[in-house]
Amino acid sequence: MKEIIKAVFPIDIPSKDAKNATKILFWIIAFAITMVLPNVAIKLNWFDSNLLIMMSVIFHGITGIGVVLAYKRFLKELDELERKIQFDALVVALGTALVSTSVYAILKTTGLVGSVNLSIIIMLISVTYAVSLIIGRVRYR
Amino acid sequence: MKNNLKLLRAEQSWTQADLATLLDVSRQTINAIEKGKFDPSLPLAFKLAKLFKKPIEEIFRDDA
Repeated sequence: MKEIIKAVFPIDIPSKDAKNATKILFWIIAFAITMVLPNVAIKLNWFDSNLLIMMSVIFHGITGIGVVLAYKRFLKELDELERKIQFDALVVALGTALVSTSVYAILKTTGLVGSVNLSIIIMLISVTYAVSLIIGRVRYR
Repeated sequence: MKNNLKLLRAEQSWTQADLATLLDVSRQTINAIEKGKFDPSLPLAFKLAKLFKKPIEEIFRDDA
């Protein structure tokens, strides 16, 4: 259990990695805010023109690109063992997403399952990535 | 790949954390290399060789 807690909250990481991880966190928070705000604004009729909706969508896209670039920089400058663990976790998450969506597509064609919300796939990728990351960190301790 | 990093580090009376700081990597990386769980990149192997003033093949050896 102690090993898992250490894997979730690594304390002795190089300072540059911690700094880059904080930058990613900033971009993810901005990404989440720009995703939630337009939804709330549309529901509450705050936007009185399509221009404002388009601007909010563009702003959301820009923060999304910010997340990707921050993560790319994080991986590039990351401690090499942690980079390997991150890549392994990304491979597992991507593989799970590919397999699950392709299985779902077949099942949907056959009519065995109904429509599934896109957020479930995002959640599946996130959970798989997080679990793989923890397993990787415990494995190399 | 096997290595004698632990021995070389002990000769210098360095902790894993000391060596990690000198090489700008995490302590986990040093620990994983010493245990043979992780093979370092070529740049890191060169850094180690430079630090211990030894050729790479004296620090690492192929166990195949």
